[in-house]
Amino acid sequence: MPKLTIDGIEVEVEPGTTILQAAEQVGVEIPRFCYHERLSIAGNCRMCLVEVQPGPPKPAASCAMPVADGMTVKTNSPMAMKARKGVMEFLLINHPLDCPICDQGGECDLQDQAMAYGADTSRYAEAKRAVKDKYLGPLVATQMTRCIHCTRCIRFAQEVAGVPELGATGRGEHMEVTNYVEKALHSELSGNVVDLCPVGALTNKPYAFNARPWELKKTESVDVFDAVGSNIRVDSRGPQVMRVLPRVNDDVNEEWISDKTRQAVDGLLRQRLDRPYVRKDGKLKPATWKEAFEAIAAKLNGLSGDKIAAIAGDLADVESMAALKDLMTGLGSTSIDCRQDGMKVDPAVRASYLFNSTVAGIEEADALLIVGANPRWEAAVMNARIRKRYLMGGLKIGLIGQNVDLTYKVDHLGTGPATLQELVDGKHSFAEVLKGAKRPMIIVGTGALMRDDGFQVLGAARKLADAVGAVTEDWNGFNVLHTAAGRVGGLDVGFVPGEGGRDTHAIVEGAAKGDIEVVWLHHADEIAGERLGKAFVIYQGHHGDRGAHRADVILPGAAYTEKNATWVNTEGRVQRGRLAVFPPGEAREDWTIIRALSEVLGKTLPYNTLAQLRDRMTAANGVFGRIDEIVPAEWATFGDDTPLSADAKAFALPIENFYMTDSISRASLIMAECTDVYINGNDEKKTGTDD
Amino acid sequence: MITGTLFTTWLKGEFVGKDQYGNRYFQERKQPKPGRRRKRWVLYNGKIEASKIPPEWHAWLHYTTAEPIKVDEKKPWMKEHLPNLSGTVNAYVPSGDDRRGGKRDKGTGDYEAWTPGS
Ligand code: SF4
Ligand code: FES
Repeated sequence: MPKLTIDGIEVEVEPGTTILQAAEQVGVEIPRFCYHERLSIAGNCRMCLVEVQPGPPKPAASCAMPVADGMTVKTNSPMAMKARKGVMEFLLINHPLDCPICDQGGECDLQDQAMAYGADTSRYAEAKRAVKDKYLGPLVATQMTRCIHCTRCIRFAQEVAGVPELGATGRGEHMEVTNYVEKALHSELSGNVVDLCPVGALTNKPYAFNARPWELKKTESVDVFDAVGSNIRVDSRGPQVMRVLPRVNDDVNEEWISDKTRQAVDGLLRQRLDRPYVRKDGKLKPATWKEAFEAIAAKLNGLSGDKIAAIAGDLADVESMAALKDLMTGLGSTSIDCRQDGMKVDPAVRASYLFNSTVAGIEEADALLIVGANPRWEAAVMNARIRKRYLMGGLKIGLIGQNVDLTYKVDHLGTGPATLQELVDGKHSFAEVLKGAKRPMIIVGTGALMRDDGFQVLGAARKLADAVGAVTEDWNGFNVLHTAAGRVGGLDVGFVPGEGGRDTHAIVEGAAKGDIEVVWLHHADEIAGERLGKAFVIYQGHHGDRGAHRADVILPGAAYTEKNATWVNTEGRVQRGRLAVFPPGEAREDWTIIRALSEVLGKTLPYNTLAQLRDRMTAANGVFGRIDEIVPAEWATFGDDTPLSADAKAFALPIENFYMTDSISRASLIMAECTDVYINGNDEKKTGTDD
Repeated sequence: MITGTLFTTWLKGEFVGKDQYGNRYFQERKQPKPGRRRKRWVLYNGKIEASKIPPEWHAWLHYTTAEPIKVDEKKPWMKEHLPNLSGTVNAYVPSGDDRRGGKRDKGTGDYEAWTPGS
């Protein structure tokens, strides 16, 4: 391994490391604009110049120069300092002096580095150039005059997002970063170019001129718009969430988040349930908490447990589901279910509902079969991971289900269960690919499991995993890709039908027939109200979405930014979301509502603090005590072994519109605009006369 | 209690003028001893309220000017003097106040609450 000296510190690094990376390892910071550790190396900004000996007597770009044995690198020699100062002066020649009106102000690399490495005055008196702004869609605002041509955005679109829509025209002073046509950037990850852009050329459009970085309170939390559990930072000012940024977690989202995660938060300000409601004479009337609780108590009084049921939805946190489960047990009901879409997994076998290979594990896979899923929409960030693995080469990907563009090349094997059955029987050629692979991976989407033959699909996928050797000592290639942030948490906490209990399907049926008299919809918005017949519906949630309209009592809860809650992502990783702002009006954190109601019902739950509740969760299931860890799940047999019928209908996809999947994003105006632009195809720049 | 003031006015006061609101202004009749200046005072028309005095007379009353300022020409930018209206029905309320319709510009943290039927 080459040994070199950086600023007098001796260091030994892997061959092929660049000087900049080596310097980072010993804690020497070299300024840079174009270099980014998750993108390819461009070496075009020249900010990272250092003095290298031996070598030509001129500064070298450290981000692009591999280390060699016996090198001496000086990052702060007079030559390096002068070189940087010169580069900075050139960059600033054509950079507008508009920091006071620029949204990047305060978090701008150019601003910071000009302070640290630049000259104190400018010698440039001529006119600066100006560049026409480009249209990149409703999420990214452009002020292209500010662009310093680092090409990070171009490389991101090309490499990570897989949409080669950005490029550059012209050269020298006439270079322009552009998407050539006036069309929106077709990526679910487009918002990340805002974070990548080191200057204010690409900024967050919905957040434009709303806040300055220094007035924001930063709260580290977890995303709930899909089941990946991206790590996020919630920036809030007073009672409002202003924006969401990614937090680096190499095991989950690296440093990307999807556009929905980033931009749907404006939905937190619309359609909010901020006070309890009780239905009187067929009309929902505002009520106090006391009245709401009494209405529930009056209804439940004397009702036997088998007439009560609860369904937990996609945005339900683990704490409240644990509390609700305890309350339902107290009431004598075992009809509880956290799978409002009716997906079929085996709650008793943890491996049957987890993404066992883990997200980071995707990079080790060498063959991949996707069954009934569209990872690009169901887990956009994870899809970027698959693409990353694909770009490394040597990955064969097969797809059964809808043939959608996943930003990488796939073999479309078939659309329905019949193809899966062929694979299980070893009659399909792709079975050989999986068998030949060292680390084969099978991803089963919720679309394939929420059908009537879901258990058979599950069983077939398990059999296939066994047959191709996807499950070994140190590798589990069987994966379920969930779409809901609350699902795995609900399964882990046991929010599933107990003995003699009904599942979602049976609950809805029972309610329609009148066998079930009280249905508790816990953040569950995907159940059409009219299907619940005459049942008394208690809705707990934060948005006046589908569930609230049908409710007889509404208990206003907190959205994910408004409570300290536990979320379990599709890999089974337990993560904590944190309170950034308080719930609006009378709304309360969800578990406290259930705890308070339990007292009115005379079934007081045995915990008074969040810590006690969490202790109880951990006692029930050990995984909740292991935050941000992957606890490998025990492999077992699960699913239905009956072969899939050859003429079963094709796999449908669970998500029809990436931008609107839950009550928050449905309330968001920005997501509505994205729907119009990306889903309805109005992706051309609107002219002034259009609206 | 202005009985004392009325008595002093009768005893020593010299009428100087009257403003448009009917407040009457006086000063001492006699020249004062050297080193002292003539006292100036006002008899309010109605309620005693210092802010009722218009600026012309305010300046005279506080010895800023020797003579009361004569306003003979009203310039378009000159506004009618208003006494302090705090505590009265005419008091100033910002536009977001309920008494002025409760309509204000959007602020941080404003949210739209759901209502049944919306
Ligand atoms: S727009 Fe920003 S990220 Fe893209 S090349 Fe210009 S400065 Fe770099
Ligand atoms: S960071 Fe090395 S040239 Fe840009």
